[in-house]
Amino acid sequence: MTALARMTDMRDGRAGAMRAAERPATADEPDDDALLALVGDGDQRAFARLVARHGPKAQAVAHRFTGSASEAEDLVQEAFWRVWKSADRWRPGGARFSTWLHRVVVNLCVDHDRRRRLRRFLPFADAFDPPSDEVGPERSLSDRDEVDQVRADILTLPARQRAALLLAADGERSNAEIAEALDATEKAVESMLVRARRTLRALQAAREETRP
Amino acid sequence: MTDHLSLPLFDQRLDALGADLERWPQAEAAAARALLARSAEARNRHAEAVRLDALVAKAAAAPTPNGFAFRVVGEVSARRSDRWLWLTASPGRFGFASATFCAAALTVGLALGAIVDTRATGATTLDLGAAIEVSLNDGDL
Repeated sequence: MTALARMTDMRDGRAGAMRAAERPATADEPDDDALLALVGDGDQRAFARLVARHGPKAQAVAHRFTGSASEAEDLVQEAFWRVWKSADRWRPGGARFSTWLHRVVVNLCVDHDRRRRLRRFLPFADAFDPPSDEVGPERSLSDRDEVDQVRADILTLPARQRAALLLAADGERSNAEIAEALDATEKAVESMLVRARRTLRALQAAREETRP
Repeated sequence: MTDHLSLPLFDQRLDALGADLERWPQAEAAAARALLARSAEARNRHAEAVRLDALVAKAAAAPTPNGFAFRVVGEVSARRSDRWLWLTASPGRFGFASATFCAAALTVGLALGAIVDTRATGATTLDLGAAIEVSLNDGDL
């Protein structure tokens, strides 16, 4: 069974709840399910509307996951290509579209991260990987503010902890929805978030200790 | 969960669920509020968690690049066109044998076409009109 089919089979109370990000701007604007039905029929305007509605948030998650805006955009483009190809199989009333989209984006990010780590073992690896947009740990603390430090810390987290933390960061998703996006149990997501937050706190504490 | 939430368990739940008690399950949130009312140490831990969550929220935010939606829609349109061009260029690429094979495949494909949806590969032109319209409306361009 495909991820899309599994997601559309999930029919619980959470799935029907529409958040601000997915709510149409005006009453006469179609919701996600209606747009996906149009996209399934090949409607490019509906597709552009879906990209405009959900793309920025997906881009932000991918950007902070990879540390690179351009790599993130490539991944989000791939995710929306999959949306276009699968839209005619979308069944309204199931899981939220944004949860499915984030699931695709996170999977692409994790695969991308895995490939990048493998490439580090190759000669000339630097030629493959563009430099991260984020401030690296080699920079002195004085030229970074606290948010930049946390961004750099997040990039050091294991991939799935990083994904869980980024999906939880804006407070718009429950742990259950994050679990759906990560294809994990809610308990596993809690465990990822505990480890991620403890790591960030430990890194912050270590910096505090070394600060003059 | 009862009213008796220990400090170590409170720490664990703060890390698992975040500092916003509104997002906790009701029973756990009630126990946490009771602990916060009676423990200064718990209030300190909660304040630290609020601070970390706020920092992570800021760190996770990212500006949307100019023209982002336009480029995404354009890329998808281009891929649809590329698929079509790849198919039409196949005889030249692979020679007569492949062309013969493709002709046979096309015959079978036409027969299957009546029951299979070929929407995703059907576009022959790059259509950016929708992307331009939506992007201009949203101030993306």
